[in-house]
Amino acid sequence: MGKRSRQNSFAPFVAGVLAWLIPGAGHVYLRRSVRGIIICICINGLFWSGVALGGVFTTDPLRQRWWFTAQMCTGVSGIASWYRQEQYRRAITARLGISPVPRWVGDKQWWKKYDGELSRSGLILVFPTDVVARAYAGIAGMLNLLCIFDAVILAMLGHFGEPVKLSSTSRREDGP
Amino acid sequence: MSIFVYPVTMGWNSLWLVLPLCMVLAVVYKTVRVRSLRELPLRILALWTYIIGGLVVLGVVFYLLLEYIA
Repeated sequence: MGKRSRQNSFAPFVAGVLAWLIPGAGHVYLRRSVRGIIICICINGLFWSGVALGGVFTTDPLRQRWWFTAQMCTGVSGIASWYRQEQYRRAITARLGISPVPRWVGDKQWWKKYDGELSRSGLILVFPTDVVARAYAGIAGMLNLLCIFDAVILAMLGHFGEPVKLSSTSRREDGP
Repeated sequence: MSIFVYPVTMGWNSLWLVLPLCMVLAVVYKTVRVRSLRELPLRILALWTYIIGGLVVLGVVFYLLLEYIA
């Protein structure tokens, strides 16, 4: 495993927060820079590809709460996408003269007006774009969750830097 | 930029988009898991093939189930 350094009780917390904020930053903090850069490119690339396919309403906390939760695991990218979506939603609801959020989830009048305006402005997501876009952005978040756990566990174990090479006889075989 | 604002129109031919998705999944998973970075490309390719192969098999099984049993 990686070189053990002085135990720092804040290291798992710092690694976790960095890994959440910028995908791959947790691994860079653990001196696994190449892995960190690969993770950063892949996760941000996947997330923004999803947003490019689905548009600004790919991130939708009102209608797609589970996907939204997964998307927020991408940190800054997720928050930036949410902020843009909020701006558009507030602009649309202000134009319609309705409240920015429905009074309750089943407020049919609110949803009817809101969906009508989304449809007119060409912002509404329809099948199969909605599935593809939200799957891309959501899976990016779930993959970052895996990287966050990895960074936190490595920091807890004090494994900084790339793993040391083992002899061919004692090498562990992992899956495909 | 309008590309990040308006959704793209897609049809059923968008099924190929599962390939890059599975590739990213394989890259991230193997980047976290693999011991030596030199093994990475081969491991990624192997996992990607496994995932795509598994999806194809699942697709065929469900197609046969729908066609002949259901």
